[in-house]
Amino acid sequence: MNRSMPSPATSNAPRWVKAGLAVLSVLLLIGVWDWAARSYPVSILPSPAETIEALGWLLGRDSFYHHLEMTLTRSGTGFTAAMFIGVVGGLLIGRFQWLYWFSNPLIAIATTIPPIFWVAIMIIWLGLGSGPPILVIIITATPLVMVNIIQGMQNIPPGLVEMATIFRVGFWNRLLRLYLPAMSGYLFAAALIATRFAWRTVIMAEFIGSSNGLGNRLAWSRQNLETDLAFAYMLVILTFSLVIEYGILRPAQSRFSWMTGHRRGQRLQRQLNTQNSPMPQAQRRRSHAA
Amino acid sequence: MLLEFRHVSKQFCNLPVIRDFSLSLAAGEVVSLVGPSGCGKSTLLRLAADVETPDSGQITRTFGADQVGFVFQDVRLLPWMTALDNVLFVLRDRIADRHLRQEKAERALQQVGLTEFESYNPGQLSGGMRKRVAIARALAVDADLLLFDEPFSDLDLPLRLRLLKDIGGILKRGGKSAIYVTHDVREALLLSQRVLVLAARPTYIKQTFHLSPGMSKPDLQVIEEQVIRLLGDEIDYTHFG
Repeated sequence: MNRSMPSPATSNAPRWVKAGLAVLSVLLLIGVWDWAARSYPVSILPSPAETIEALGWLLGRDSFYHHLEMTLTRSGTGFTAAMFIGVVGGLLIGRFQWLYWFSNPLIAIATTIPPIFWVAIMIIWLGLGSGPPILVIIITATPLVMVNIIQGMQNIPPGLVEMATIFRVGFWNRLLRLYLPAMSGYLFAAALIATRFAWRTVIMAEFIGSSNGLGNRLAWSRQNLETDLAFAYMLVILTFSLVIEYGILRPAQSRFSWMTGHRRGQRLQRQLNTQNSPMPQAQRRRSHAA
Repeated sequence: MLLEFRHVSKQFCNLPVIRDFSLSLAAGEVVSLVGPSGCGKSTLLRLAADVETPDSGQITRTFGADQVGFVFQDVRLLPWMTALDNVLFVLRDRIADRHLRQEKAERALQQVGLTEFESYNPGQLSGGMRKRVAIARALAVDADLLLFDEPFSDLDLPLRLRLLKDIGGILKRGGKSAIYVTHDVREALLLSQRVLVLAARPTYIKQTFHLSPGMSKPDLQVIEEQVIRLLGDEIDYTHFG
Protein backbone atom coordinates (compact mmCIF):
# COMPACT_ATOMS: atom_id res chain seq x y z
CA MET A 1 0.00 0.00 0.00
CA ASN A 2 1.23 3.49 -0.81
CA ARG A 3 2.55 4.97 2.45
CA SER A 4 1.05 8.38 1.62
CA MET A 5 -2.48 6.93 1.38
CA PRO A 6 -4.47 6.67 4.59
CA SER A 7 -5.80 3.19 5.35
CA PRO A 8 -9.60 2.83 5.07
CA ALA A 9 -9.96 2.30 8.82
CA THR A 10 -8.11 5.47 9.82
CA SER A 11 -9.17 7.80 7.00
CA ASN A 12 -10.12 11.28 8.15
CA ALA A 13 -13.10 11.48 5.74
CA PRO A 14 -16.15 13.11 7.39
CA ARG A 15 -18.57 10.82 9.15
CA TRP A 16 -21.39 11.68 6.78
CA VAL A 17 -19.32 10.43 3.85
CA LYS A 18 -18.61 7.11 5.55
CA ALA A 19 -22.23 6.71 6.69
CA GLY A 20 -23.53 7.79 3.31
CA LEU A 21 -21.44 5.20 1.47
CA ALA A 22 -22.54 2.47 3.89
CA VAL A 23 -26.21 3.37 3.40
CA LEU A 24 -25.71 3.50 -0.36
CA SER A 25 -24.28 -0.02 -0.40
CA VAL A 26 -27.24 -1.39 1.56
CA LEU A 27 -29.72 0.42 -0.70
CA LEU A 28 -27.92 -0.98 -3.72
CA LEU A 29 -28.18 -4.48 -2.28
CA ILE A 30 -31.92 -4.04 -1.68
CA GLY A 31 -32.31 -2.63 -5.18
CA VAL A 32 -30.58 -5.63 -6.77
CA TRP A 33 -32.64 -7.98 -4.61
CA ASP A 34 -35.87 -6.27 -5.65
CA TRP A 35 -34.93 -6.34 -9.32
CA ALA A 36 -34.00 -10.04 -9.17
CA ALA A 37 -37.21 -10.93 -7.28
CA ARG A 38 -39.33 -9.67 -10.17
CA SER A 39 -38.20 -12.65 -12.23
CA TYR A 40 -39.19 -15.28 -9.64
CA PRO A 41 -42.29 -16.37 -7.72
CA VAL A 42 -42.46 -15.62 -3.99
CA SER A 43 -41.80 -19.29 -3.19
CA ILE A 44 -38.36 -18.96 -4.78
CA LEU A 45 -37.30 -15.37 -4.14
CA PRO A 46 -39.65 -12.99 -2.31
CA SER A 47 -39.12 -9.29 -2.88
CA PRO A 48 -38.12 -6.90 -0.07
CA ALA A 49 -41.74 -5.73 0.17
CA GLU A 50 -43.06 -9.30 0.44
CA THR A 51 -40.44 -10.04 3.08
CA ILE A 52 -41.49 -7.03 5.13
CA GLU A 53 -45.11 -8.11 4.82
CA ALA A 54 -44.22 -11.58 6.08
CA LEU A 55 -42.25 -10.01 8.90
CA GLY A 56 -45.27 -7.94 9.87
CA TRP A 57 -47.36 -11.08 10.02
CA LEU A 58 -44.71 -12.81 12.16
CA LEU A 59 -44.50 -9.94 14.63
CA GLY A 60 -48.24 -10.22 15.22
CA ARG A 61 -48.00 -13.80 16.38
CA ASP A 62 -47.34 -14.74 20.05
CA SER A 63 -45.58 -17.96 19.07
CA PHE A 64 -42.90 -15.95 17.27
CA TYR A 65 -41.79 -14.37 20.55
CA HIS A 66 -41.60 -17.77 22.20
CA HIS A 67 -39.25 -19.00 19.47
CA LEU A 68 -37.26 -15.77 19.61
CA GLU A 69 -36.89 -16.12 23.37
CA MET A 70 -35.64 -19.71 23.00
CA THR A 71 -33.02 -18.69 20.46
CA LEU A 72 -31.88 -15.66 22.44
CA THR A 73 -31.65 -17.68 25.65
CA ARG A 74 -29.63 -20.44 24.03
CA SER A 75 -27.25 -18.13 22.22
CA GLY A 76 -26.88 -15.91 25.31
CA THR A 77 -26.16 -18.89 27.56
CA GLY A 78 -23.72 -20.41 25.11
CA PHE A 79 -22.00 -17.08 24.52
CA THR A 80 -21.62 -16.35 28.25
CA ALA A 81 -20.26 -19.80 29.00
CA ALA A 82 -17.87 -19.70 26.01
CA MET A 83 -16.56 -16.28 27.05
CA PHE A 84 -16.07 -17.28 30.68
CA ILE A 85 -14.31 -20.56 29.91
CA GLY A 86 -12.42 -19.04 27.00
CA VAL A 87 -11.15 -16.03 28.96
CA VAL A 88 -10.15 -18.00 32.06
CA GLY A 89 -8.58 -20.74 29.96
CA GLY A 90 -6.85 -18.23 27.69
CA LEU A 91 -5.42 -16.33 30.68
CA LEU A 92 -4.05 -19.52 32.20
CA ILE A 93 -2.64 -20.81 28.93
CA GLY A 94 -1.11 -17.45 28.12
CA ARG A 95 0.44 -17.28 31.56
CA PHE A 96 1.99 -20.74 31.81
CA GLN A 97 4.28 -21.84 29.02
CA TRP A 98 3.90 -25.58 29.72
CA LEU A 99 0.12 -25.25 29.51
CA TYR A 100 0.48 -23.46 26.20
CA TRP A 101 2.55 -26.31 24.74
CA PHE A 102 0.11 -28.84 26.16
CA SER A 103 -3.09 -27.22 24.86
CA ASN A 104 -1.85 -26.01 21.46
CA PRO A 105 -2.71 -29.20 19.52
CA LEU A 106 -6.06 -29.52 21.29
CA ILE A 107 -7.05 -25.97 20.34
CA ALA A 108 -5.93 -26.57 16.75
CA ILE A 109 -8.13 -29.67 16.57
CA ALA A 110 -11.07 -27.93 18.20
CA THR A 111 -10.97 -24.96 15.81
CA THR A 112 -10.77 -27.22 12.75
CA ILE A 113 -13.71 -29.53 13.38
CA PRO A 114 -16.77 -27.99 11.68
CA PRO A 115 -19.65 -27.06 14.01
CA ILE A 116 -22.09 -29.21 12.00
CA PHE A 117 -20.25 -32.31 13.27
CA TRP A 118 -20.88 -31.30 16.86
CA VAL A 119 -24.53 -30.51 16.12
CA ALA A 120 -25.05 -34.02 14.75
CA ILE A 121 -23.15 -35.69 17.61
CA MET A 122 -24.91 -33.69 20.33
CA ILE A 123 -28.34 -34.57 18.90
CA ILE A 124 -27.37 -38.25 18.92
CA TRP A 125 -26.10 -38.00 22.49
CA LEU A 126 -28.61 -35.60 23.98
CA GLY A 127 -31.62 -35.63 21.69
CA LEU A 128 -33.59 -32.51 20.84
CA GLY A 129 -33.84 -29.55 23.20
CA SER A 130 -31.71 -26.67 24.40
CA GLY A 131 -28.71 -28.77 25.41
CA PRO A 132 -27.21 -29.47 21.98
CA PRO A 133 -27.26 -25.86 20.67
CA ILE A 134 -25.77 -24.47 23.89
CA LEU A 135 -23.09 -27.14 24.09
CA VAL A 136 -22.18 -26.74 20.44
CA ILE A 137 -21.71 -22.99 20.95
CA ILE A 138 -19.49 -23.66 23.94
CA ILE A 139 -17.43 -26.31 22.16
CA THR A 140 -16.92 -24.29 18.98
CA ALA A 141 -16.67 -20.71 20.30
CA THR A 142 -14.51 -21.36 23.38
CA PRO A 143 -11.33 -22.26 21.47
CA LEU A 144 -11.71 -19.14 19.30
CA VAL A 145 -12.06 -16.98 22.40
CA MET A 146 -9.02 -18.70 23.92
CA VAL A 147 -6.89 -18.06 20.86
CA ASN A 148 -7.65 -14.34 21.05
CA ILE A 149 -7.00 -14.17 24.78
CA ILE A 150 -3.73 -16.09 24.43
CA GLN A 151 -2.61 -13.66 21.75
CA GLY A 152 -3.63 -10.82 24.01
CA MET A 153 -1.55 -12.23 26.87
CA GLN A 154 1.44 -12.71 24.59
CA ASN A 155 1.17 -9.13 23.38
CA ILE A 156 1.12 -7.50 26.79
CA PRO A 157 4.28 -5.39 26.83
CA PRO A 158 6.78 -7.37 28.95
CA GLY A 159 8.20 -4.14 30.31
CA LEU A 160 4.89 -3.35 31.99
CA VAL A 161 4.75 -6.82 33.51
CA GLU A 162 8.30 -6.41 34.83
CA MET A 163 7.36 -3.01 36.27
CA ALA A 164 4.46 -4.63 38.12
CA THR A 165 6.81 -7.35 39.38
CA ILE A 166 9.42 -4.92 40.65
CA PHE A 167 6.81 -2.83 42.43
CA ARG A 168 5.32 -6.03 43.87
CA VAL A 169 1.85 -5.34 42.49
CA GLY A 170 -0.63 -7.99 43.66
CA PHE A 171 -2.50 -10.49 41.49
CA TRP A 172 -5.96 -8.85 41.38
CA ASN A 173 -4.57 -5.37 40.89
CA ARG A 174 -2.49 -6.67 37.98
CA LEU A 175 -5.40 -8.56 36.46
CA LEU A 176 -7.87 -5.68 36.65
CA ARG A 177 -5.55 -2.77 35.85
CA LEU A 178 -2.79 -4.28 33.73
CA TYR A 179 -3.70 -7.53 32.00
CA LEU A 180 -7.36 -6.92 31.14
CA PRO A 181 -6.94 -3.33 29.92
CA ALA A 182 -3.82 -4.31 27.93
CA MET A 183 -5.80 -7.10 26.35
CA SER A 184 -9.05 -5.22 25.93
CA GLY A 185 -8.74 -5.11 22.14
CA TYR A 186 -8.34 -8.87 22.01
CA LEU A 187 -11.08 -9.33 24.60
CA PHE A 188 -13.59 -7.43 22.51
CA ALA A 189 -12.44 -9.19 19.35
CA ALA A 190 -13.10 -12.47 21.18
CA ALA A 191 -16.56 -11.25 22.22
CA LEU A 192 -17.40 -10.29 18.64
CA ILE A 193 -16.26 -13.66 17.33
CA ALA A 194 -18.16 -15.50 20.06
CA THR A 195 -21.33 -13.49 19.33
CA ARG A 196 -21.27 -14.24 15.63
CA PHE A 197 -20.46 -17.87 16.27
CA ALA A 198 -23.18 -18.18 18.88
CA TRP A 199 -25.82 -16.84 16.49
CA ARG A 200 -24.86 -18.97 13.52
CA THR A 201 -24.38 -22.11 15.55
CA VAL A 202 -27.64 -21.85 17.45
CA ILE A 203 -29.63 -21.27 14.24
CA MET A 204 -27.90 -24.21 12.59
CA ALA A 205 -28.44 -26.48 15.59
CA GLU A 206 -32.10 -25.48 15.85
CA PHE A 207 -32.53 -25.95 12.10
CA ILE A 208 -31.22 -29.51 12.24
CA GLY A 209 -32.55 -30.76 15.52
CA SER A 210 -34.79 -28.66 17.66
CA SER A 211 -38.51 -28.40 18.25
CA ASN A 212 -38.45 -24.64 18.74
CA GLY A 213 -36.38 -21.55 18.16
CA LEU A 214 -35.85 -19.40 15.07
CA GLY A 215 -33.74 -22.08 13.41
CA ASN A 216 -36.56 -24.56 13.82
CA ARG A 217 -38.98 -22.04 12.30
CA LEU A 218 -36.60 -21.58 9.41
CA ALA A 219 -36.67 -25.35 8.84
CA TRP A 220 -40.50 -25.31 8.85
CA SER A 221 -40.59 -22.47 6.34
CA ARG A 222 -38.26 -24.36 4.05
CA GLN A 223 -40.38 -27.51 4.34
CA ASN A 224 -43.59 -25.60 3.49
CA LEU A 225 -41.92 -23.53 0.77
CA GLU A 226 -42.81 -20.38 2.71
CA THR A 227 -39.76 -18.61 1.44
CA ASP A 228 -41.06 -15.15 2.35
CA LEU A 229 -41.27 -16.31 5.99
CA ALA A 230 -37.77 -17.77 5.73
CA PHE A 231 -36.51 -14.40 4.55
CA ALA A 232 -38.45 -12.70 7.34
CA TYR A 233 -36.77 -14.95 9.92
CA MET A 234 -33.43 -14.17 8.29
CA LEU A 235 -34.18 -10.47 8.71
CA VAL A 236 -34.94 -10.96 12.40
CA ILE A 237 -31.71 -12.91 12.93
CA LEU A 238 -29.73 -10.28 11.03
CA THR A 239 -31.30 -7.42 13.00
CA PHE A 240 -30.55 -8.94 16.39
CA SER A 241 -27.04 -9.83 15.35
CA LEU A 242 -26.36 -6.29 14.14
CA VAL A 243 -27.98 -4.71 17.22
CA ILE A 244 -25.81 -6.79 19.53
CA GLU A 245 -22.66 -6.11 17.56
CA TYR A 246 -23.13 -2.44 16.67
CA GLY A 247 -25.40 -1.40 19.49
CA ILE A 248 -23.64 -3.08 22.40
CA LEU A 249 -20.28 -4.64 21.68
CA ARG A 250 -18.67 -2.06 19.43
CA PRO A 251 -19.71 0.94 21.56
CA ALA A 252 -18.42 -0.94 24.61
CA GLN A 253 -15.20 -1.63 22.74
CA SER A 254 -14.85 2.02 21.88
CA ARG A 255 -15.51 3.08 25.46
CA PHE A 256 -13.38 0.56 27.28
CA SER A 257 -10.66 -0.49 24.90
CA TRP A 258 -7.33 1.09 25.95
CA MET A 259 -6.28 1.28 22.33
CA THR A 260 -9.11 3.53 21.27
CA GLY A 261 -8.79 5.40 24.54
CA HIS A 262 -5.19 6.10 23.64
CA ARG A 263 -6.16 7.38 20.21
CA ARG A 264 -8.82 9.54 21.81
CA GLY A 265 -6.16 11.01 24.04
CA GLN A 266 -4.00 11.80 21.05
CA ARG A 267 -6.92 13.47 19.28
CA LEU A 268 -7.55 15.57 22.37
CA GLN A 269 -3.90 16.55 22.43
CA ARG A 270 -4.05 17.65 18.78
CA GLN A 271 -7.14 19.70 19.55
CA LEU A 272 -5.33 21.30 22.46
CA ASN A 273 -2.37 22.17 20.31
CA THR A 274 -4.46 23.77 17.59
CA GLN A 275 -6.85 25.57 19.95
CA ASN A 276 -4.03 26.59 22.28
CA SER A 277 -6.40 26.60 25.20
CA PRO A 278 -6.53 24.70 28.49
CA MET A 279 -8.30 21.38 28.33
CA PRO A 280 -12.03 21.99 28.99
CA GLN A 281 -13.05 20.84 32.44
CA ALA A 282 -15.67 18.41 31.08
CA GLN A 283 -13.00 16.58 29.11
CA ARG A 284 -10.59 16.21 32.06
CA ARG A 285 -11.15 12.77 33.36
CA ARG A 286 -10.57 13.07 37.05
CA SER A 287 -10.22 9.46 37.92
CA HIS A 288 -11.00 8.68 41.51
CA ALA A 289 -9.40 5.38 40.94
CA ALA A 290 -8.88 4.65 44.62
CA MET B 1 24.82 -1.84 54.83
CA LEU B 2 21.57 -1.49 52.93
CA LEU B 3 22.65 -3.56 49.94
CA GLU B 4 25.69 -5.67 49.33
CA PHE B 5 26.89 -7.51 46.23
CA ARG B 6 29.59 -10.06 47.03
CA HIS B 7 31.47 -11.58 44.09
CA VAL B 8 28.35 -11.69 41.95
CA SER B 9 28.48 -13.20 38.49
CA LYS B 10 25.69 -13.54 35.97
CA GLN B 11 25.34 -14.89 32.49
CA PHE B 12 22.54 -15.17 29.95
CA CYS B 13 22.49 -18.12 27.53
CA ASN B 14 26.18 -18.85 28.23
CA LEU B 15 27.10 -15.22 27.62
CA PRO B 16 28.86 -13.82 30.71
CA VAL B 17 27.46 -10.40 31.57
CA ILE B 18 28.73 -9.73 35.07
CA ARG B 19 31.95 -11.08 36.50
CA ASP B 20 32.92 -11.07 40.16
CA PHE B 21 31.10 -7.84 40.96
CA SER B 22 31.18 -6.52 44.51
CA LEU B 23 29.48 -3.40 45.82
CA SER B 24 28.31 -2.13 49.19
CA LEU B 25 25.66 0.54 49.44
CA ALA B 26 25.07 2.28 52.75
CA ALA B 27 21.77 3.80 53.80
CA GLY B 28 21.42 7.32 52.42
CA GLU B 29 24.17 6.82 49.85
CA VAL B 30 23.85 7.50 46.13
CA VAL B 31 26.09 5.53 43.82
CA SER B 32 26.35 5.96 40.06
CA LEU B 33 27.30 3.26 37.60
CA VAL B 34 28.91 4.49 34.41
CA GLY B 35 29.97 2.19 31.63
CA PRO B 36 29.75 1.37 27.94
CA SER B 37 26.48 0.25 26.38
CA GLY B 38 25.57 -3.35 27.00
CA CYS B 39 28.06 -3.84 29.79
CA GLY B 40 25.43 -5.10 32.23
CA LYS B 41 24.42 -1.97 34.15
CA SER B 42 20.70 -2.66 33.76
CA THR B 43 21.27 -6.28 34.80
CA LEU B 44 22.91 -5.03 37.99
CA LEU B 45 19.84 -2.95 38.73
CA ARG B 46 17.57 -5.92 38.11
CA LEU B 47 19.70 -8.02 40.43
CA ALA B 48 19.43 -5.32 43.07
CA ALA B 49 15.62 -5.27 42.59
CA ASP B 50 15.56 -9.06 43.02
CA VAL B 51 13.96 -9.78 39.66
CA GLU B 52 17.09 -11.64 38.60
CA THR B 53 19.16 -14.05 40.66
CA PRO B 54 22.94 -14.24 40.42
CA ASP B 55 24.58 -17.38 39.06
CA SER B 56 27.22 -17.15 41.74
CA GLY B 57 28.03 -14.87 44.63
CA GLN B 58 25.67 -13.35 47.09
CA ILE B 59 23.41 -10.34 47.33
CA THR B 60 22.41 -9.20 50.80
CA ARG B 61 19.55 -6.81 51.38
CA THR B 62 18.46 -5.29 54.64
CA PHE B 63 15.19 -4.07 53.17
CA GLY B 64 11.99 -5.79 52.13
CA ALA B 65 11.26 -6.98 48.60
CA ASP B 66 8.64 -4.24 48.21
CA GLN B 67 10.98 -1.49 49.34
CA VAL B 68 12.39 -0.80 45.89
CA GLY B 69 11.44 2.07 43.62
CA PHE B 70 12.53 1.84 39.99
CA VAL B 71 12.69 4.52 37.32
CA PHE B 72 12.97 2.81 33.95
CA GLN B 73 14.74 4.12 30.90
CA ASP B 74 11.58 3.58 28.86
CA VAL B 75 9.30 4.96 31.59
CA ARG B 76 6.76 2.06 31.50
CA LEU B 77 3.63 3.97 32.40
CA LEU B 78 0.23 2.36 31.83
CA PRO B 79 -1.12 4.36 28.87
CA TRP B 80 -4.79 3.77 29.71
CA MET B 81 -4.42 5.41 33.12
CA THR B 82 -3.98 8.98 34.22
CA ALA B 83 -0.76 10.15 35.87
CA LEU B 84 -2.44 9.88 39.25
CA ASP B 85 -3.74 6.38 38.55
CA ASN B 86 -0.29 5.28 37.46
CA VAL B 87 1.06 6.26 40.86
CA LEU B 88 -1.94 4.73 42.65
CA PHE B 89 -1.35 1.45 40.77
CA VAL B 90 1.78 0.74 42.81
CA LEU B 91 0.20 1.89 46.08
CA ARG B 92 -2.99 -0.18 46.08
CA ASP B 93 -1.43 -3.28 47.60
CA ARG B 94 0.62 -1.29 50.11
CA ILE B 95 -1.91 1.10 51.60
CA ALA B 96 -5.39 -0.12 52.47
CA ASP B 97 -6.82 3.28 53.33
CA ARG B 98 -8.18 4.89 50.19
CA HIS B 99 -7.76 8.50 51.31
CA LEU B 100 -4.24 7.95 52.55
CA ARG B 101 -3.34 6.31 49.26
CA GLN B 102 -4.79 9.19 47.26
CA GLU B 103 -2.99 11.71 49.43
CA LYS B 104 0.34 9.94 49.00
CA ALA B 105 -0.05 9.75 45.24
CA GLU B 106 -0.97 13.43 44.99
CA ARG B 107 1.98 14.37 47.16
CA ALA B 108 4.36 12.37 44.97
CA LEU B 109 3.13 14.19 41.87
CA GLN B 110 3.39 17.48 43.71
CA GLN B 111 7.04 16.72 44.50
CA VAL B 112 7.78 16.50 40.78
CA GLY B 113 5.66 19.52 39.93
CA LEU B 114 2.82 17.73 38.12
CA THR B 115 -0.19 18.50 40.31
CA GLU B 116 -2.17 20.18 37.53
CA PHE B 117 -1.48 17.29 35.16
CA GLU B 118 -2.54 14.42 37.39
CA SER B 119 -5.65 13.67 35.34
CA TYR B 120 -3.76 13.56 32.04
CA ASN B 121 -2.94 10.29 30.33
CA PRO B 122 0.70 9.61 29.39
CA GLY B 123 -0.18 10.14 25.73
CA GLN B 124 -1.12 13.72 26.55
CA LEU B 125 2.13 14.48 28.37
CA SER B 126 5.51 15.48 27.04
CA GLY B 127 8.52 13.16 27.36
CA GLY B 128 9.87 15.06 30.33
CA MET B 129 6.51 14.98 32.09
CA ARG B 130 6.23 11.23 31.59
CA LYS B 131 9.66 10.83 33.17
CA ARG B 132 8.48 12.89 36.12
CA VAL B 133 5.40 10.70 36.55
CA ALA B 134 7.72 7.68 36.58
CA ILE B 135 9.86 9.36 39.24
CA ALA B 136 6.76 10.20 41.27
CA ARG B 137 5.69 6.56 41.06
CA ALA B 138 9.08 5.44 42.37
CA LEU B 139 9.03 8.03 45.17
CA ALA B 140 5.46 7.26 46.23
CA VAL B 141 6.31 3.79 47.52
CA ASP B 142 8.69 5.30 50.12
CA ALA B 143 11.32 2.82 49.07
CA ASP B 144 14.52 2.21 50.96
CA LEU B 145 16.32 1.86 47.65
CA LEU B 146 15.74 3.81 44.45
CA LEU B 147 17.07 2.48 41.18
CA PHE B 148 17.44 4.72 38.14
CA ASP B 149 18.14 3.17 34.75
CA GLU B 150 19.31 5.98 32.47
CA PRO B 151 16.16 7.92 33.26
CA PHE B 152 17.00 10.99 31.16
CA SER B 153 18.77 9.44 28.20
CA ASP B 154 16.29 10.69 25.60
CA LEU B 155 15.80 14.21 26.93
CA ASP B 156 17.48 17.43 25.91
CA LEU B 157 20.25 18.86 28.08
CA PRO B 158 18.38 21.76 29.78
CA LEU B 159 15.51 19.46 30.79
CA ARG B 160 17.94 16.80 31.93
CA LEU B 161 19.81 19.21 34.16
CA ARG B 162 16.55 20.53 35.60
CA LEU B 163 15.23 17.07 36.41
CA LEU B 164 18.61 16.05 37.78
CA LYS B 165 18.50 18.98 40.17
CA ASP B 166 14.97 17.96 41.21
CA ILE B 167 16.02 14.37 41.85
CA GLY B 168 19.14 15.43 43.70
CA GLY B 169 17.05 17.61 45.98
CA ILE B 170 14.51 14.85 46.58
CA LEU B 171 17.18 12.26 47.37
CA LYS B 172 19.01 14.61 49.72
CA ARG B 173 15.89 15.77 51.57
CA GLY B 174 14.57 12.23 51.97
CA GLY B 175 17.95 10.69 52.84
CA LYS B 176 17.29 8.10 50.16
CA SER B 177 19.71 5.47 48.90
CA ALA B 178 20.00 5.12 45.18
CA ILE B 179 21.87 3.41 42.39
CA TYR B 180 21.94 5.60 39.33
CA VAL B 181 22.89 4.13 35.96
CA THR B 182 23.89 6.58 33.28
CA HIS B 183 26.01 7.13 30.20
CA ASP B 184 26.42 10.76 31.15
CA VAL B 185 29.48 11.27 33.33
CA ARG B 186 28.39 14.73 34.37
CA GLU B 187 25.04 13.41 35.65
CA ALA B 188 26.90 10.85 37.71
CA LEU B 189 29.21 13.46 39.21
CA LEU B 190 26.40 15.89 40.03
CA LEU B 191 24.22 13.36 41.77
CA SER B 192 26.29 10.80 43.63
CA GLN B 193 28.79 10.28 46.41
CA ARG B 194 30.53 7.52 44.51
CA VAL B 195 30.99 6.89 40.80
CA LEU B 196 31.80 3.36 39.70
CA VAL B 197 33.30 3.02 36.25
CA LEU B 198 32.42 -0.34 34.76
CA ALA B 199 34.27 -2.31 32.15
CA ALA B 200 32.71 -3.69 29.00
CA ARG B 201 30.91 -7.03 29.25
CA PRO B 202 31.51 -9.16 31.29
CA THR B 203 31.47 -6.17 33.55
CA TYR B 204 33.43 -5.54 36.70
CA ILE B 205 34.45 -2.37 38.48
CA LYS B 206 37.38 -0.72 36.77
CA GLN B 207 37.67 2.12 39.23
CA THR B 208 35.74 3.92 41.95
CA PHE B 209 35.72 7.66 42.44
CA HIS B 210 34.65 9.13 45.76
CA LEU B 211 33.06 12.54 45.73
CA SER B 212 32.78 14.74 48.77
CA PRO B 213 30.03 17.33 49.29
CA GLY B 214 30.98 20.82 48.16
CA MET B 215 33.73 19.59 45.87
CA SER B 216 35.04 22.40 43.69
CA LYS B 217 34.30 22.64 40.00
CA PRO B 218 37.94 22.15 38.93
CA ASP B 219 38.17 18.98 41.04
CA LEU B 220 34.99 17.65 39.47
CA GLN B 221 36.34 18.41 36.04
CA VAL B 222 39.49 16.48 36.79
CA ILE B 223 37.47 13.47 37.85
CA GLU B 224 35.26 13.85 34.80
CA GLU B 225 38.30 13.70 32.56
CA GLN B 226 39.61 10.65 34.36
CA VAL B 227 36.28 8.87 34.03
CA ILE B 228 36.01 9.70 30.34
CA ARG B 229 39.53 8.48 29.80
CA LEU B 230 38.71 5.21 31.54
CA LEU B 231 35.58 4.76 29.49
CA GLY B 232 37.13 5.61 26.15
CA ASP B 233 40.69 4.68 26.80
CA GLU B 234 41.04 3.38 23.30
CA ILE B 235 39.80 6.58 21.71
CA ASP B 236 42.24 9.25 20.68
CA TYR B 237 40.72 12.55 21.84
CA THR B 238 42.54 14.66 19.30
CA HIS B 239 39.98 16.87 17.57
CA PHE B 240 38.28 14.87 14.87
CA GLY B 241 38.02 17.73 12.38
